[in-house]
Formats: sequence, structure tokens, C-alpha cells
Amino acid sequence: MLSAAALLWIGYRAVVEREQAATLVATRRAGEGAALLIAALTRDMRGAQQMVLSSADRDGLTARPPVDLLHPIASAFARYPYLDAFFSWRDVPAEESPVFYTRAERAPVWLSAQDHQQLFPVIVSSNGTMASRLLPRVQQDLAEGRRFSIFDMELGGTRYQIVTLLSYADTLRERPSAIFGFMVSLQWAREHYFKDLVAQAARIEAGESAIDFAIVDQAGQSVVGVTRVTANVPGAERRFPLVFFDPVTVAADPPSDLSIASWRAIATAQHDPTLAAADSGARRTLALATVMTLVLTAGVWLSLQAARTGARLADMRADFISAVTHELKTPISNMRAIHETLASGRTTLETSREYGAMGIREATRLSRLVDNLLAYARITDVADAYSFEPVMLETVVDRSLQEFEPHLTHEGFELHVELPEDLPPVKADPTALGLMLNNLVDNAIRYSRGTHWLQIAAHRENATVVLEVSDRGMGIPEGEIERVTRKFFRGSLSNAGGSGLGLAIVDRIVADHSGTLVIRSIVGQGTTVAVTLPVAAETSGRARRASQT
Amino acid sequence: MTAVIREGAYIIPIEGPPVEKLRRENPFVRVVRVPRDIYAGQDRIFPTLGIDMVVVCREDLDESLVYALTAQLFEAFPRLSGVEANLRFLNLDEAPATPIPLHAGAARYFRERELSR
Repeated sequence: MLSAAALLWIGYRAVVEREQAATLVATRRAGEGAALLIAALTRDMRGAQQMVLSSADRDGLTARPPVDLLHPIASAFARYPYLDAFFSWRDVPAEESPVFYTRAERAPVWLSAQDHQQLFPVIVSSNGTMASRLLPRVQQDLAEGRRFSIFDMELGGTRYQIVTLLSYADTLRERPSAIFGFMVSLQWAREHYFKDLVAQAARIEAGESAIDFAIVDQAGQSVVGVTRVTANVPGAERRFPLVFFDPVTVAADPPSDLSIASWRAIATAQHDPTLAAADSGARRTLALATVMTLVLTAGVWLSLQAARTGARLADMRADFISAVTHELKTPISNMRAIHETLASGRTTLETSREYGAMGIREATRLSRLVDNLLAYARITDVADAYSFEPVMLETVVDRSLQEFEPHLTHEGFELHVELPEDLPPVKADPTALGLMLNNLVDNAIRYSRGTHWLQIAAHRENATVVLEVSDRGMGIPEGEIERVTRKFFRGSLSNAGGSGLGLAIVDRIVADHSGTLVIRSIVGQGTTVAVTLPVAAETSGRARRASQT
Repeated sequence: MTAVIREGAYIIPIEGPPVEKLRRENPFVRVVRVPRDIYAGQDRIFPTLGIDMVVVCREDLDESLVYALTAQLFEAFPRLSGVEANLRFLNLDEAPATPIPLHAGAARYFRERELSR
């Protein structure tokens, strides 16, 4: 049982640890996935500022005619989908107003319709209204000599994040020369940019692991995906600022009209193949461990039962051998002693008679034991050897008492025989019935101890005759009554010898005669064995069958 | 070209306000600077007009096919530039700036290239 429990425990621990390991691996993968997504996001969101604005400034494009910016802007539109528009303005010579460069395929609402008529991906236009809103704000930063002008502004009904590179004609940044910036519609980014980016990042990472990505805004609203990290779902979260520039640019002196929201990128490994494999492995291992434990437990239980039964049988057999040996040897050694005495010639006629009687008693005892052994072998093997006939109980009782007479007399038994004269004959095998009664009388004598009292009584009860053999001997403990009819069983109080076969033979003979056997006993007061046998006129089915064979 | 120059022809720079006007009306026209010694007797860099090389396809071509074609083309550029001298001057960062709208398959390629940098 311990090994079964240990097996189950080891199986359980193995499963739990394997699942924990799989969850750890999945969580680490999710963490790596989240880190990759954040890296891709931040690099992409800063790309327009770092790559487009800086290169234009480095190549001197901001100081050149607007047409020279067309190709870098067309390229930027293809590379960074969050860009809605660029704008530039040159101070020298003082041009009319800032120039706007918008996407041909995603024109903003504030662009006039006639500007759409071209195939080139960048539409160049000027918009006085927009310029009058935008320029004064940028000029504040120009006046302060800033390198970048970054702020949020609502223009034409759309909220934009605006990132502008400011150029100066002098190193002290006192004479502004040009501005070049871009606008990002925060609404469009929320609705399209993150969704597309997550899908593209997942496609690039595809095949390595099944990681689900999600993006949640500062209010906890889902922007992309619906997955959440819970106790059952391994995953990881990383925060990122919703800015389309390098936050270091404004870290020292953040503008009051710029709101930097903190969003979260979430990666979950709910569908990680390692987890799925660990799950199915865990189920298989647990099922196997359970089955093996059950089989082992059943095997152990059966082995224990077999061992117990074997040990009990061996004990009973050993007891039987020793009891039978004792029973056989005692009368033989007694007879030997008697005959040695007789042979010595030192006996008188009187003592010779006494020794002769003793010899007869011992021979009878030996004969009864041999009869019992033979009878047991006979009736257990050949049950149909009975010859049923009407038998008067009186005859059987007389014969039995005659047989035990020397014993009864010798030990001074008080004998009571109560057999009504009108007792009907029973259907029985006379020899078997005699053997049965002999055994009952023998038991009564053997276990009588101090009180030598024996009663044999019979009465009719409907279609049966009840024969009772009673003594006032040591009695049988209540718990053993049920077992005394088993072969080789000898009671715990028994130390009077005996083969342990007597009541087993009685029980078998009674059953073969379609009768019943009831034993009533009180320890210290005595025992009554009641045998019920059918009367001869009403033969039972079993007896009839037996007599026909 | 070299033969023509040898016979007396000479190269003139194209620049100035008319060029700016032309470019404003036709954004795909670019100012190109021909490097020194490309042609016989050419001892200085001179400005002229140029247009991009563009691979054109029908709009209804399958997106994944165009994606695969674009990817193959860019993978082959290092080898092709050894064969075709003009490809040496190609600026891959400006490659997405096509004078006509990008096909969805090509747009996807450029976007993924950007994310995979």
C-alpha cells in the first residue's frame, strides 16, 4: 500500500513539476514575445523622427525647395503607416505659408478635393487655416531655441500628435531657418496602426511559438486583442508610452499641451504547444499512475488475502496433524502398557479383567478416530454413498451409548435419555447417523470437564424430528460457534485433544440428510447441539436423489 | 553616348527655374547629378533630369505573388548591381517612394522590412 501511495505521489509530483516547468517556459516565451513586441513598437514609433526628420536635416533638405522632400516623404509614408502628413516651412526666402504633404491614398478631411487628382503617393498643398493654427504654436518653440517642437493639437476635427524638427541659421538658435515635421492622427493609430503592427509582428515571429498579443490603453480598454493574463494563462506585460518620437527629446522640459499616455502590450502563451503537450502528458501520466496504483493495490490485497488464507490453512493442518498423531498414539501406548502388564504375569484375575476392559476402551477410541478419518474422506468425496432408509433414533442412540458405555461408566457420567415412544423413524443412512451421534456424544464427553452430565433428547416437530445432545461442559465462545463446523477447526478453549473433524462430519451428514444443525452454547454452562432430520414418510428432494443413485 | 561625344556632341547641365516648375507639376521627375568620368571627356559633375526605375504590375495581381516578387527582387539586388551599373546608385531606403501607388503586396514587403530591421 505504501508503494502504491508512493507511486501515485511520485506520479502526481512529476505531473505537477512538469506542468510548472511548461508554464515557466511558456511564461518566459510570453515575456520574450512581449519584449519583442515592445522593441518593434518603440523602434517603429520613433522611426519617423529618428530616420526621416534627422536624415532630411542632415542632407540639408529642409532648406531646399519643397519638391526635394517629395521622395523622402513618399518613402516615409510607405515605411511608417502612422504618418498622416508632413509639413515644411522655410524662412528664407519668406514663402507664403507652410507646405503640407499628405498621403494620396488616405487624404485628411481638411484637404480640398482638387488636390486629390494625381497618382503620386504624396499630395503637396498649402492650407491657410491649418497653417494659422500650427505655425504660432511651433513659433513658440522656435523663440525658445528648442530643437524639436512636439505637442498634441486638434486640427480639422482630428487630434494629432505633432513632431517638428526646428532648424536655425545660427549656432545660438536665434535665427530660425526652417521647420520640418509630421502629424499622426491618434484616432487612426488607435483603430489601425496597432492592429496591423501586432498582426505583422506575429507573422514575422510565426512558427516559433503560439503567442497571442494584445494592447490595452491607459484606461484599460482593449485596443488590440482580448487576451488577459490570469493565474491560468501564462503571460507577460510591458508598458510603453503612446508617443511617436523618442521620449528623451522632451524628458527635460515636457510641453504642457502634450499628453503622454501609458499603454500596455500583453503577450500570452495560452496556446503554447509546450503547455498543450504538458497538459496532455499530465493527463496520460496521471491516468497511467492511477491505473497502475489500482492494479498494484488490488494485487497487494489479493496477495495478502492468499498469504493469510495459506497461513491459516497451514496452521490448521499442523494442528490437525499434531492432534491426530496424539489421538492415535495415546490409545496405542495405553494398549501397549496394558499388554506389557498382562504379559508380565504379575496380575490377578481381577486386575486382568480390569486391564482387559481398559484395553477395549482404548481400542474403541482408536477405532472411532480411524472411523472418523475414513468417514470424512468418504463423505466428502462420495456423497452419494448413503443408503437411506427409515431409521428409529432409539436404535441409533442405544448403539452409540453402548459403544460409549465403558467411558461413561468409567468417568461417572449422569446420563439422561428422553426419547418419546411415538417418535417416528427418520429418513437416514444408519451408519452415517450413528457416526453423527457418536461424534456428538464424544464431544460432549470430551469437553465435559468437571460436570459429567449428558442428555440425549428427541421430539417431533411437524414433519421433522429434533435430536438434541446436551452437556454441562466448558461451552463454546459465541464468536467461534459459526466456525466450529469447519474442518480442522478447534476451539480456543479446546485442550482436550480431538482431530477437529467431528463437527465438520456432523455438519456434512446433516446437510446430506436435508436437515439443519443448530448449536447453542454458553461458556462455562454447556452446549446443546440440535439436529433436525426429516421423518421417514416425508423424504426431501436431496435424500430422494441420493437414494436413487 | 560615348561615340556621339567623340564625334563632337557635348553634355549640357539641365537646371534652373524651368526645372523646378517641371518638377512641381511632375513630382516623379528627379534632379540627378551625373558623377564625374561617366562619359568620355566628362571632367565634372553635372545636373540633369532623371526618373526612377519602376517595376509596374496590374493592381489586381495576387498580393502574395507581388510580395514574393518584391522580396526576390530585393534579395537579388546585391548580385544584380554587379551586372547593371545603374543599380549601384540605388537608395534602398527610398525604394518605396514610387511615382505611382504601391501594390498591396509590395507595401507589405516594405512594411515588414521596416519592422525586421
